[in-house]
Amino acid sequence: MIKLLKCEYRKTKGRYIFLTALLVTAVQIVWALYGKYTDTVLMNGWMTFLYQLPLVNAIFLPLLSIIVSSRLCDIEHKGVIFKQLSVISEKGKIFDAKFIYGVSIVIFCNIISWASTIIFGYIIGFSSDVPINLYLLYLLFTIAPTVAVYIFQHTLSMLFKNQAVTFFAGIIGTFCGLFSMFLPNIPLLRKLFIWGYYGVLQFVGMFGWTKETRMADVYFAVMDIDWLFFAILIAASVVMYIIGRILFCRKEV
Amino acid sequence: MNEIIRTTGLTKKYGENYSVRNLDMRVFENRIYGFLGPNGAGKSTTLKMLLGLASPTKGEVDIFGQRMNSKNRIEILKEVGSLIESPSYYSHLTAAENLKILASLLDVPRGNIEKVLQIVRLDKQQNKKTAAFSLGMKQRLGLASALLSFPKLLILDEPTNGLDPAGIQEMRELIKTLPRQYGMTVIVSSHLLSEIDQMAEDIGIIANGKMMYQGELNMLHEMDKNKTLEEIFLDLTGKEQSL
Amino acid sequence: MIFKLLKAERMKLKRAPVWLAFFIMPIIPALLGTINYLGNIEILQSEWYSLWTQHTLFTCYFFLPIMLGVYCAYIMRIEYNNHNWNKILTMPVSRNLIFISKLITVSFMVLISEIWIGALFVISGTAVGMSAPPYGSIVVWCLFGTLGGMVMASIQLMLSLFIKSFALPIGIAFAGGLSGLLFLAKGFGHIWPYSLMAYGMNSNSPQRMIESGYTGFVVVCVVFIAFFTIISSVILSKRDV
Repeated sequence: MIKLLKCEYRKTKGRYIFLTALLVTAVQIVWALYGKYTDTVLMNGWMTFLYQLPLVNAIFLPLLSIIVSSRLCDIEHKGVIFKQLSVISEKGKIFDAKFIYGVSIVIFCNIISWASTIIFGYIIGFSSDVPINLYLLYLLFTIAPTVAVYIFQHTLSMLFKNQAVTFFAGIIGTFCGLFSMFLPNIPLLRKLFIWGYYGVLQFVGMFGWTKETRMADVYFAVMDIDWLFFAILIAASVVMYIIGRILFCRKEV
Repeated sequence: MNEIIRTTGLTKKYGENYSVRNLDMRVFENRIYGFLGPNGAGKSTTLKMLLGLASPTKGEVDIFGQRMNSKNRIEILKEVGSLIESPSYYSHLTAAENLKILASLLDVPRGNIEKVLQIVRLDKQQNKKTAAFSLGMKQRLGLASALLSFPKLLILDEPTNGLDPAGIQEMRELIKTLPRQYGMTVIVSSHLLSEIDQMAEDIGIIANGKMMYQGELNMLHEMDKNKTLEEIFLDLTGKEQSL
Repeated sequence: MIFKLLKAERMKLKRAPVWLAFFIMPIIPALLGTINYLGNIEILQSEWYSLWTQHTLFTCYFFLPIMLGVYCAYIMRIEYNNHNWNKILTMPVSRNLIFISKLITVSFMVLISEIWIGALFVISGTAVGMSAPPYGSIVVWCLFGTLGGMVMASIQLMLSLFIKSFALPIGIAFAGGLSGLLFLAKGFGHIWPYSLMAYGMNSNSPQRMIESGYTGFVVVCVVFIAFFTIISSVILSKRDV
């Protein structure tokens, strides 16, 4: 396995996969942190972030997953290396190695943007210490849906030679997930799509917004966490991975 | 004899390296010209320059007495069929669909598709997706698309690549009939002397981008009676390059 | 000659149901946007106009740019695969027209998507009980959206022409879409190529007419399209395959 991972690393040399991922992350960070920071915002800074960032993640992280997985697999499809590789090592192991390599890049990017959010909060002067427990939970709830999405993209990228399929499927999924977050009155909707789990696992809510007072009386509070659906998400990821692996192993190359 | 191709001082430089150097090529009408040289000698680059796929660093290409430039390019290409490097095909389409696309770009009747498919013996598999084709079948499809307009000039770059011995034999026989049957002039490149020896009437030998010999194949046989053709070829291209 | 090329492009896309993605994609915002509209009916009072924003906001900034990016990348990719450039560039056709025919092919898809978005809009608005759709505005939004989309298509085709990678131009399309939102917010929406589609479709503020005027908008779009087309044609005719 270590050998295969090393092999992945060597293949991606000069393909700027890591750089591309970092660039997407950089755009994400700028996008997430850009804005006006008034005194009221600074007061509630940490909670505001926890409320707002899942939406940003729901846009960027699925895209990051599409790009990384597609680019990793495209190398193989292009050179028809799968054939050679399948001879050398077991097909399932190739599936695993590519997944581990890609998902590590994506998780690493998650951690970078998470850390830079905290650093940014301190620099701009949020008026308290970071609620680290909540932030660790937030990190977990960012990584979990991302891994699920990555499994989905990874499987498609490995199965289809035509990467347009991967992209279109991923974008339509992202779209569903994003929209589901704007429909709080139908909570079931977002639970149906893996892309909606950035919203399902959002645990800070905004309260006190009215048409008249707008943001003036707004406060944020920690809500109940849907551990059941967290478990469902994990289970779904495992099932998806197993199905994807079986499909790939059955596929003729 | 009419000159179909004439290049003067044709040169291509990539960075500091010459890929093709001062090449004067003459190809005559209705003949088969074998373009022979070891791998990396500059064969493909030369053929690409003939077709306008690569622009020469120096020198000129004249085809059918017309200068190959952006003005005459389209006129010349109407009468040229080619198979360069590897066969081109859209893998999600069938053989017939691939040829249909080219037929509409070439303005040739649909009947030609059936005709060339028969010539290369792909008519039975014409409705199969090309993604499922073997290398040999792809090579035949490549030849079919080069023949599609029954052009005056046919440029084939290593056309026997990927074919099995029977396929090579068949391809060779097919190429030999083209000048007589359709009045074509054919350039066929190869790194195998034996292959060229059995097909070509004229020969150009290129090594390290330079033309080492050009003329009738018979004359090459005459050059040194004591040596085999193999040995003459090795002398010309430099012994260190093995075939 | 251009018709031959367009026909060839159409044949190449046979068995590649890209249109399916463009067909499905607008249904999502139409469906969910309408539900969202119903949920917030007290806040959103300008009926058709509010509904239009719900339908098109994400479409313009995120999804249509990426979809266009994918489509353009695909169209160029099939030429890069299996040495197809070798064949296409030795066909007796003008190299400039090769790019233009691809641009027209993509633009046609943009137009169809816009018509489909417009149709879904009228259907869902009528379904939730609104009357008298503003047909005039819808036609203008969709046509201008198409023109703005063509600008994006010309950039993306150019990028996919000289970047061999499939994913990278799509990443740029994504960043482009985001930048479009930013530039529009800063008041440069009428001159930034990635904003023009959203600007033309008036997705943010449907009631306002385009400030720079219709002629100004058309001129800017045409200039951009011509600019990217010329650059791409030059690349294509100078390049060694």
